[in-house]
Amino acid sequence: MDRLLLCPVDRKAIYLAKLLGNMLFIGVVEIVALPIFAALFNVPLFAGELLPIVLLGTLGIATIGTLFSAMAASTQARELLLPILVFPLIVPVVIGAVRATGTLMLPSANEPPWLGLIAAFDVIFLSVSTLTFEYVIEE
Amino acid sequence: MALVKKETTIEQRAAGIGAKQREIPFPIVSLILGALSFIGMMVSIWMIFLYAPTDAIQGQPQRILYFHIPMAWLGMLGFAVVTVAGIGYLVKRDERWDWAAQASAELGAFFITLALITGSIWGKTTWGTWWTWDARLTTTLILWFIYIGYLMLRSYMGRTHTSARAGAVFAIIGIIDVPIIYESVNWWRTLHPAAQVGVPGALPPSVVLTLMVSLTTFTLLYSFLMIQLYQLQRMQTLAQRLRASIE
Repeated sequence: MDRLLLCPVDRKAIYLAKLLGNMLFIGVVEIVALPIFAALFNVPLFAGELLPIVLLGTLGIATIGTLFSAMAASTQARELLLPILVFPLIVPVVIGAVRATGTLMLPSANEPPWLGLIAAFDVIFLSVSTLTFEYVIEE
Repeated sequence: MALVKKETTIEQRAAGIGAKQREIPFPIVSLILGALSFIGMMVSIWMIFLYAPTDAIQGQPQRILYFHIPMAWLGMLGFAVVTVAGIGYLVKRDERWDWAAQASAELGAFFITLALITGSIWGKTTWGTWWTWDARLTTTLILWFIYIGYLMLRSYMGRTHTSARAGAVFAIIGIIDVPIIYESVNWWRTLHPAAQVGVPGALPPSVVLTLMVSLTTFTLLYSFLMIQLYQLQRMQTLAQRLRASIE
């Protein structure tokens, strides 16, 4: 991280780069996990909206996770601290993604706009995290 | 109030060396707030148990609400203060904002814990269950986790400027997220009694009065305790600096 800070770039770029890296990381896990789930639970893999839900959900979790891992990285109990910090804050993404996927599998009437919720969450927290990241890592 | 001395011996010595130590601010304010909250608490306890009428359906347990509502309110106010103090610290780079943030975080966490416990007890008597996953309870529980996360983060990162900045950013993220969490859980479920105070005729005026007095008393108590905890944070920082200067 110190070496990254040596680069003469705007701190926002460092944050976005880390975010992209984390998203690719999670993406690889998803590429493996989704076909397995589709096979095990007999659910259609390419049922319309699944890809946007997966992508937006990943973005939401990665946004929060990247910011807080920068905070918790220097502490002793980072493995304990990071989940405690992250899980309460990604509740809207988790609820939204679960419900959106559920609606996809079993369409029901009068459902709130879950995908919209995840998208709004992403927009808000991507901007806030990008703006506040420099305060977290500066010395 | 014996808790808030005028000037510590260290400050008197440091002032002699020419260091920029300030006198402990707010001794009079602290005394007044302490006295007011004491009187207020006496008055509200009388009002809650003797003045307020007994609810026809819920009976005596309804009185728990006179404690529960102010505590929940303070839990939320506390987090707002943490965030404002955090933003103040990020902008001004003055550690005194951080002292206020930490003080409010400890207080707020305490009050929200009490709110969860008292609410749970009331829920058992009225709804027959200690807990349910409706929007307000779930969001309050998550707010509790956010508080605990903040306290853990500050504790593990120590008493440094990095820690203060991380705490401020966490508080900002937290306060933006809480309304979103509330709405998302609300869409997902529903159960808490709808707000009764604003609706005219829904509650007898003595109930509203008792609730307002209780709310005011608890807010005064919060302010008083904030000053005490702020002083404690200040002392801890000074002590840490002294220890560092000795080593």
